Amino acid sequence: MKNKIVLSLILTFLLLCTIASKGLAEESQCSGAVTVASYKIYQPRLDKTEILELYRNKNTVAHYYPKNQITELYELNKAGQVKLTKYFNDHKRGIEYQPNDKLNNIRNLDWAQKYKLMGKNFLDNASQQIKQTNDCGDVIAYSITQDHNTFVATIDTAKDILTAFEITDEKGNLLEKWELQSTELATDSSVFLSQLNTYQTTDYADIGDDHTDPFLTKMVNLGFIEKSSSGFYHMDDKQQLHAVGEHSH
Amino acid sequence: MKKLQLTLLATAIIGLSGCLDDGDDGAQGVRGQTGPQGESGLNSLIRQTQLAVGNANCPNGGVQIDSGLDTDGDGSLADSEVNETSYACQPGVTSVNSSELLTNLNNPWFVEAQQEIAEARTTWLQATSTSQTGNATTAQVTSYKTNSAAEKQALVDSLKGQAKNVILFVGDGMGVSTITSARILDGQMAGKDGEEHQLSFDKFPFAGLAKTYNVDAQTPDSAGTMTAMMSGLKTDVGVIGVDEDIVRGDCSTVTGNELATALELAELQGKSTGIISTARITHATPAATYAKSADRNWEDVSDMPTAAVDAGCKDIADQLVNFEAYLESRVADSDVDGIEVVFGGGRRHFLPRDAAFNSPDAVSSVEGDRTDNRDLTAEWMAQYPAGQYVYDQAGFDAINTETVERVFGLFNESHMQYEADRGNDIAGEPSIAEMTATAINILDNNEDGFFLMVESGRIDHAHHAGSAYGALTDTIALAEAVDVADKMTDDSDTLIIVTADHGHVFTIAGYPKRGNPILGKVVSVGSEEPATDADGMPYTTLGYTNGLGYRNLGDMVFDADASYAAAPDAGRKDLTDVNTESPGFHQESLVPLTSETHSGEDIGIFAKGPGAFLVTGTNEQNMVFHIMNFAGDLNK
Repeated sequence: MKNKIVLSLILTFLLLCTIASKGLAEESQCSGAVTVASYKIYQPRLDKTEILELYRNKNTVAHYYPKNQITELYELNKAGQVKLTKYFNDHKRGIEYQPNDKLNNIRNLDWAQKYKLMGKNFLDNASQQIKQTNDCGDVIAYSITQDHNTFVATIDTAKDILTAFEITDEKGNLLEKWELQSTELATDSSVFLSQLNTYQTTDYADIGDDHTDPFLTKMVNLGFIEKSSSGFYHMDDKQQLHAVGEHSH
Repeated sequence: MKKLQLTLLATAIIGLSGCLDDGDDGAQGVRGQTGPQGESGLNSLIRQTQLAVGNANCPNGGVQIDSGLDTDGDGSLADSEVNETSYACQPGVTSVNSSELLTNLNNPWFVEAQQEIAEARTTWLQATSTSQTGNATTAQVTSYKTNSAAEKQALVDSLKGQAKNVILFVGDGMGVSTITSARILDGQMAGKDGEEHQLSFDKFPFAGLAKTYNVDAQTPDSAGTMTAMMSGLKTDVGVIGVDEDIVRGDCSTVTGNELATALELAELQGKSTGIISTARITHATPAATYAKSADRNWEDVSDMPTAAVDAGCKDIADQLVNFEAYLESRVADSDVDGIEVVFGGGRRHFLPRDAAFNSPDAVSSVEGDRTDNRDLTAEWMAQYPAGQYVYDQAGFDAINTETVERVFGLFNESHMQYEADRGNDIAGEPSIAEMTATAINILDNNEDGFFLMVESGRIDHAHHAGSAYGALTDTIALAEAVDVADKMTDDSDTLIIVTADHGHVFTIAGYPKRGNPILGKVVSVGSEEPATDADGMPYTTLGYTNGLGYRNLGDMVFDADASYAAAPDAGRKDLTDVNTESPGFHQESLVPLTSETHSGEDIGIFAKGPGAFLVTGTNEQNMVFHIMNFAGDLNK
């Protein structure tokens, strides 16, 4: 009798553990936004491919471009401003830019653009189609047509992550394609962001004041910024806006 | 009785007649026959000729009168018959009406220039007078004679120290072309043509030029130039408060090469002292008033190489907070009370790299940069419990200038906002004019006087970014601060100097007509349409020789540094449909660089008050220190 009671208790315990374990597993699957992601960005007309790694931690987002060894770090402050620091990873140096505000470039005002890689205007104005539903959220395709081009972005709302993005022209020709390759990278988000914090930074306004600093001198002479991520989208201004998911009417 | 006199007179005449006669006359002869009839005589003629104004014989015009005999009898006087010429000239002009002199004496430019000369003469006489401030004598002396070296020295000594207060304004990067175009913009914003307008310091009675080169650099930086102005000698580029024997970045070369500054001398005299900058207060220009550093970039400990820290060199922020102790350690038996007013940006260099120390208006997730875990704002407050630390507009506005002992205001994590963008600061920032007024109200509580340095640090930054709009609006803000200081002080005891550390490669070019918008495209005299270049494209009056070049960020975008978000875009652009007067427009440049550069040209010095008359001619830049030192007798 005693053994039966003990066995019953053990089975009950195991059952509870199983239920709890399942619950924890489900909770883990819905634990929220992914913190790291890797994208392959392809522009067929230019036959150009770029890798973008995304690192996120609450109000801090890093866009890392391995090819050029450049990272754009965005911080959302209490005032709702977005502050950019551009790191040159090879040099372990960074350039800090003035936080953005209502008088500044609208592209840098949009935190969604930095965090989700799709601008708020685009998300607010695009038509939505639920592609998939699960316990934690939906996979939604956002699409909009402008200037004879069609933009389609697919977002996993559970993970708050862009999973695909395409631009096609009126004939259906592919102009640009983003593919989510992985949400697990070798370096953890917090580690990557902490490492950036150790790099020496220079205020943008001070670049011109010091022509003896080899790094800054190189920037002045070689136009470092031109090689940054944004240069990848410099086909023209309009396309740059589209490529980062910004859309305005 | 009368008869007797006549008799005597007659006798005398007879006697004289007798003395002159040679003998008796003979008898008269017979009249001869009448001779033959003579020929008719010649007519005498006169000829008159009108002479025009400018004639050699009659400059004001008149008549030439020729006379002579009509020898050929033709009734007219030929030139060969003229035997006399005279002139009846018009008298010279002895009075004119105003209309006849409209292009000269009554011309307003002429009249104003005459008045300026008269005023300048009076100013010079007053400035060079031997009369001392407060003395009753009004004797004016323009030359001095001394009979001995001792007498000469005594005379020089009598002219020294007339300035109880000294205020030095530095427009960082405010070259001559910047002043000119800011003056025009300020005037045009006031509805004038602009060119005739005057900024506050344009009205100062004395001005000169300064050569800005550093000991090792043809085109200088702020560290070397401000050290020259504050310490009286030129030094290398990039170093603060040390002489040219320094090796930049080598801590071990600092000791023994430290320089005293005008601010330190004022401290040692018991004057109150103040520093204001719209840049970080640890930036090169303000740092040169109080710090000694082998590198301008050692703003906090995290900016320094480990070897320098280990060798005992102190970062610039530390040197500001502990200024009093460091000065007393360098000057034996000294006892100073520290800097009374510090206003500027740059909180990051005073706070630990820990989000827990963030200010309420921090713009970064971690505001502080210091890696030694020191909170220098807390250290300052512990050192000066009667002092007041402020970080925003509200705190600034709450300062009671008549009761506060000292203030430490750090209004931004990095540089303060551009004047044109100041309204966008999270917690608000005071203007440079407001900071100047508050500083003077605090500093003038000291009866022994004060020394104040005010830097408009972001003129330089806007130029580096290629934004003339930003540079000019910050220059105008500086001019307003100068005006405030001028009105709050007395010319008899306060020397005010306005100058720059260096210029920029910023040009005013083309042939725009009078009153053409200074930020606009060139429109030639007599035209209403923009002039075009060889490619048929319009061009702007303002431009840069190098830098980022063209940006068109629109009407609603000012932040000059937004231009750094893209690669340089030098060379000509078609500006036909571009509003070049908008705040977001960045001028074209010739040479593509990611930052526009300083220039090596001379900069202006403007002065008024005691000792201001020493500002004249073309000077080495370190002369500025010596003028302040002479006027304030700072090193007595």
